[in-house]
Amino acid sequence: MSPNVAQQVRDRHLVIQLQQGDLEALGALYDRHRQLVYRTALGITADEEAAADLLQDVFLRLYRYARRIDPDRPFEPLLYRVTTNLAYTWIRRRSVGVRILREMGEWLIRDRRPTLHQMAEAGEAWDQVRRAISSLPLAQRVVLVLHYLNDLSVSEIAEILEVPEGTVKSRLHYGRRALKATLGLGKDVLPEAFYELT
Amino acid sequence: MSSRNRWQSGPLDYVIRRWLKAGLASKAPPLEARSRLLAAAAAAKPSRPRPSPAPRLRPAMGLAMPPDDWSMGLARQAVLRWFPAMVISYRIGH
Repeated sequence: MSPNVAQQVRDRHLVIQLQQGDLEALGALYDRHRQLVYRTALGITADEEAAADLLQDVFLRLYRYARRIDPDRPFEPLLYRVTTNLAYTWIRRRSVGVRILREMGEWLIRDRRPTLHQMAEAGEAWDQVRRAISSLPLAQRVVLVLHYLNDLSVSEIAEILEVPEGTVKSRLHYGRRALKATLGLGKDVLPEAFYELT
Repeated sequence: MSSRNRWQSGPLDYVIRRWLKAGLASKAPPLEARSRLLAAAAAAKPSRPRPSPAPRLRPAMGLAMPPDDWSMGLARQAVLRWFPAMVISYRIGH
């Protein structure tokens, strides 16, 4: 049995237990998939607090509506669907005013943070990702995160988002182009990366 | 690159994938998130199939609360107005 199939079998078993109201099964499913849900939510919202809230909402929703889940279908696509739907809702509800206030607050306390100058490389990388991702339209952002972060194919993304494959390809194309411009990825960067790959 | 596969771009795909994964690699949910989830789940009951409204009404019908005189008077008037012949024939019969 391949690891992927073994994982699906384990998920199926846990979903059946979840349908009987088993909280331990919920904990086990959370342990198995928390990173996937959290990073997907974080990639889409670019907000750590929101990602933590969405993580809880996703698993709570699965627990509440466990009876509607078909245990014989793969569990991960369902997780992606619920996560992206809730992230969409969160972003739409988030008012512009709140975002401006938060960004202004972050800017005001930026110079007072004692550890900022010692920020680790990983932290800086995240800051760059956060800014670049936030500048993209939501539809492109979702597709880029699912494709590049979660390594999902175009057809898998189309199925999760319930849109035609052509739409996914188009969003991917324009999202990548916008990201390239935002990050300043010129021709001098790409060949080097290409050689590194080969 | 042809227009047919313009959504694919080898080196750029590689750069973006590496960049995005590196940016999120250090990110993990807060430790207390698990216990918070389980506490919230314990408080929230899983949704059950909705029963029809009829069984919900049944206990109320069984309550030993006779209608008051005012209600009975209204009912009597309504019956007399809507079905006078039936009420009269009932009275004659009994």
